[in-house]
Formats: sequence, structure tokens, C-alpha cells
Amino acid sequence: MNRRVLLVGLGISLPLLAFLGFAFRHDPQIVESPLVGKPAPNFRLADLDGNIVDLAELRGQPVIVNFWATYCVPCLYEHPLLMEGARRWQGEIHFLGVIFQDDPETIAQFNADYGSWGPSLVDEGGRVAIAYGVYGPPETFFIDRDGVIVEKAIGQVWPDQLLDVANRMLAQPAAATG
Amino acid sequence: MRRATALLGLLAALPFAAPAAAQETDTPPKVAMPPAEGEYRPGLGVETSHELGDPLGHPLSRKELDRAVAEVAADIRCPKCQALSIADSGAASAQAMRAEARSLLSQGYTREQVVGYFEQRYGEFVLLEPRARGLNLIVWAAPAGIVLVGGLLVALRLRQRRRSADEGLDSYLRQVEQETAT
Repeated sequence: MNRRVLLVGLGISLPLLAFLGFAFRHDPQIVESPLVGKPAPNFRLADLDGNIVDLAELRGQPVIVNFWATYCVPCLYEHPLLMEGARRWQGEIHFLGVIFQDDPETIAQFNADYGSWGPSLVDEGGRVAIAYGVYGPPETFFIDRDGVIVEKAIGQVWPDQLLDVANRMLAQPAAATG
Repeated sequence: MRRATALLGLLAALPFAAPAAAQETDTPPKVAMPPAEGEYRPGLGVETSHELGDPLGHPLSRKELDRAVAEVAADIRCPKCQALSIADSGAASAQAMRAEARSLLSQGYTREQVVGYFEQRYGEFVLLEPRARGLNLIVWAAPAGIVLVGGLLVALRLRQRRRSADEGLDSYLRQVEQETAT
């Protein structure tokens, strides 16, 4: 009888443990983006001065698109890193900021106070954020020379991640672009 | 540990991140004001038609549009909320997604196309009701499976108990017969 109970217990608990072991390997807060490996949705947005930025026109050079807001604390933490990245890869990688549900005037004041690492684009109605499947700021999309999203960072971008992805995108031969 | 060190470094660097030229001024920065809600500047935003292809339905309006938006919104999870649909949430993200659904449905995109658009962007997580395929089948089959296995166990147990009760009665009757025969 004890052996039978043991076998039944193992039969129930082992699959459950296997399932939990599989599930605990993933952070439940992170939802993998289905857009990685696919062409980046194209957009045309105006920056705070009214200048139009067309993503399609940047094809041929890597682009880093960062959805951010001034109320988002991780966005503030990653700001110096993006400043350093934009300075380091000036002319090699385009850095674009898309404002996520924030007041353009507040953004402009922030840029005046802390500096800006790229144009802050006004996303009217949040349609670009929807097209990129943004859950909340900050989210960063790394787009290669061919306009394909090669990686997405959810939350704060870390120095090693930025360095790694930027180097990979820059290593992609320019001839591969159409 | 490495990340904690990097975070501390970045926190320390934040106050010094502003370039020397960026100084506090009394005059507010010059900003081109965005248009009022719903009045998107033509040509700006995202090329939804490029992402979705041609509309497969007919453009909806008025009550028909309201009903279709409500149906789609009830199926889509609000990305900023806990287990709430975009129909039930007042979050800005939910409002933007409802507006996007309304815009697409009014252009003639079908309900399936609009739901598919959100799924393509956010992944299957955005669907409040997961599709019955792959590993999701566990979610659908598990309740029925548990009830079935539970029912079988109860039936087996009852059968076992009845059999042992019958055996007990039989031996008692045999004993009575033996004693009365002597």
C-alpha cells in the first residue's frame, strides 16, 4: 500500500516539478516580442521642433529606438548610458527616442536640463508604441542596417547589452543592405 | 553583482550627465505643440496598411462600429494592467489601443485582422483567452482531465468498497449457515 501511495505521489509530483522547473527558467514579467527577427514597423514622426524623422530613410545604418518618458525611473537611469552611446557611435548608429505617454513640454525641459541623446519623437495617439508592441517604458529596439529588429531590451538597457548589440549591428556588412 | 555595480555607477553619473551647455534657464524650451486628440497630422505615425495589408471587411460606422470595438476590446489584454481587458481599463495604453481598434475597424479591417494585428505586435499574451493549440491545450484540457481522473478514482474506490462489503457479508452468511446446520 505504501509503495502504491509512493508511486501515485511520484506520478503526480514529478510532472508538476518538471513543469515548474521549466516555468521558473523564465521571468514572468518579460514577454518575448514576436517582432524580433522581423522588419521594424516603419514610422514617420515629428520631433519637438517639428522636424520629421522617417525610419525608412535611415535604412543602411543601425538604429536604436528607445520608448521612454520622464516619469519612468529606469529611463532616467539609462539616460547617461544612451548619452554615452550616442556620443561614441555618432554617425554610425542613429539613436531615436519615442515619447511614451508624456508631455512634450516636460520632455523638452528634461532634455534642456540633462541633455539629449537623440531626437525626441512625438507619438500621437501612441500608434507607433502599439505597432512596436510596447508594454511600458523603457523598451529599446535594436534595428540593423536592413531594417530588421535584431533585439529588444525590456526595461533599463545595460552597458554590456548595448555594447554587445551595437558591435554586432556595426559588424554587419553594409553591402547587405538593399 | 556586476549589474548592481553598473547601476550604482549610472546613478552616480546621472547628475553629471548634462552637458556643460545645458544650463537652467528661466525661459521655457521651444516646443512644437502636438495636435489635439484625434487630429493626427496626415502622413505621420505608422503605416498600418503596410503592416496589415488590405482590409477584408467593409468600413464600419456608428452603432455597428461601437459594437465591433467593444467586442475586440473585450478580447484584448491591457498591457499595463493585471488581467483586465482594454475594454475594462482606463489606462492610457488601453485607451490608445481602443482608439487604434476603432480606427482600423472604421477602415474596413475585420475583427480577426484587428485582433491579429495586436497579437502580431504584443504576442499571444495580449489575448485574454489563449488559443487552443500547442502547450495552451494543457490549460483547456487540464480541468476536464482532472475531473475525469478524479471521477475514475472515486468510481474505483466505491467499487472496491462494495466488493469488500459483499465479501464480508458472504463470509458472515456462510458462518451462519454452518452454525445453523450443526
